[in-house]
Amino acid sequence: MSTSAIVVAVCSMILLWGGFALCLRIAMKSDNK
Amino acid sequence: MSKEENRGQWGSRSGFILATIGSAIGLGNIWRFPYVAASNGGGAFLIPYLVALFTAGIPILILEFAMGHKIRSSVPGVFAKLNRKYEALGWFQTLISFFIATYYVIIIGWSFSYLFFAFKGSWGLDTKGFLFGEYLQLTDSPMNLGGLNLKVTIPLIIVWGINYSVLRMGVKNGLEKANKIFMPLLVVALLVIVVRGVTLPGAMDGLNYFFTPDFSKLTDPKVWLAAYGQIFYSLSICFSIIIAYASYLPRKSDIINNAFMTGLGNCSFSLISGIGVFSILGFMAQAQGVSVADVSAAGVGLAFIVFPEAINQLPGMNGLIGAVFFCTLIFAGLSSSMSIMEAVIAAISDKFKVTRRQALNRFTLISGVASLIFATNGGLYVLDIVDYATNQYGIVIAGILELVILGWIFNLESVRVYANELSDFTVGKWWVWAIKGTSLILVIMLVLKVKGEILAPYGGYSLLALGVYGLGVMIIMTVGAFVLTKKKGSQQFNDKIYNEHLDNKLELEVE
Repeated sequence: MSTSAIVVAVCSMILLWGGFALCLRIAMKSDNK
Repeated sequence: MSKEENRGQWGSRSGFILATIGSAIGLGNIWRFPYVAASNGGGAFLIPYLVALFTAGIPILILEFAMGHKIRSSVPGVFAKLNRKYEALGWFQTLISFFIATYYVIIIGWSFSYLFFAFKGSWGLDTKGFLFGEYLQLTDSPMNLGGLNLKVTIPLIIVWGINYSVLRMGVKNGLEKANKIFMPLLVVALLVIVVRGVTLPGAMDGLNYFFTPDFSKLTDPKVWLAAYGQIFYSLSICFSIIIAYASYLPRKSDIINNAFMTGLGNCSFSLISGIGVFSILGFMAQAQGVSVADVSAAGVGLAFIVFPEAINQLPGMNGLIGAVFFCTLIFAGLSSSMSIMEAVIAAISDKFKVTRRQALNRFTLISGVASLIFATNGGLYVLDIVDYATNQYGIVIAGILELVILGWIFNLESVRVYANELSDFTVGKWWVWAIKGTSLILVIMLVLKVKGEILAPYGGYSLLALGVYGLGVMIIMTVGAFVLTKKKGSQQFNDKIYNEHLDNKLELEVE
């Protein structure tokens, strides 16, 4: 894979999956179960 | 027990999130997103895609979650509560779901058939010939429907049976439990495809094609419109589902974080499915000695022609990998079809003097019979035209009207305050402008679509076929919306919706 493709793949993964995980973490700490 | 108490409610927040993500993740995530991304700048497409997610997709999810949660009614009730004149828009959105339900089940039915074909490799070497000839026995035109194809009708009945059984058990025991089973299975099945895909020779060529960014495409407005279109069609927004699902939330529920999780979860899944699809296409291209672009496809062609061909060429476990791939389509399809049907059932049982089960029975009977047209030998053509009309025109028109009413006429700031008060975190005033701006983007999408249609009618079909099936469906949805609006509602609907005016803003009443 080219370097630019790897950078895009990693960044988009971090943004989407990382964003989802962060929201999930906030939800688990929340009173709004 | 009153109808209000009997509407049903999600048993847990995780159940609601899984159900909304399950609704959003559909066949399009697997067979549309990878192709749209690869043909619109590859990795560079992810920039407009993410911009569209945060400026249109998630804001509309927040809006629909808030409206459904506050008014606790399906979409006709939500719009009628704002103003009785708007109820027809709610029914228009509900009828979009009705028509999508009738053909969506057919594709899940094909996937069931192909699940069994995969074990024996029944499609042989000519996968295109097998699909159109032996399996669908396709006629020469949409105006020639031929007879009922039993190879399609039998799996269709099975799919209806599964959907009916789940919906019959209600929101908590049916929808929620089904999604708690289907969603983990879907993720596991997709991961199997991804792991198998990336370990194949040539996979990196496919991933290069998918991810390598062509930043020059970012100056092309069509790429941005494709990104907004992909987000818009992918999140189940603007055609009654999200509002119906949110109406089953308990009073004390988060709005904004749930919307972020739904949007991000859906797009994360799309990205992973893109890796699975393009790694296998890369392998196939290498095996055939052609470029990845030559084997790249979307929709029915990708799932039922290209993928079976790729499965034929796998070095081992062909049947198993093929079966797992069609399982992903089945799980993704079922979780979406249930949500589409639920939106219609909720609308009928909320307004009219019928129980949820009576509404389900009537819907299943009418929609089930209507879906038989897609099980005929000319059914694929009809499906293609009806899908095009409902998605490219129906949902876009419904979206424009919804965002104009809620974004420009209704007091949108009150919705922001309402959602912020209930949620784990808040949104700023940018959210109001995101909703207003998205209405303008949808208008541009519609104008360009109509312009393109005049220059070249869709799919090379005859004007007669497009008129009968495409325009016909649009006319039925429009007339039907006004007829259903005029029909007398139950006393409870009159009391809760018509007689309790909303006064142009949402007010917070947290118990």
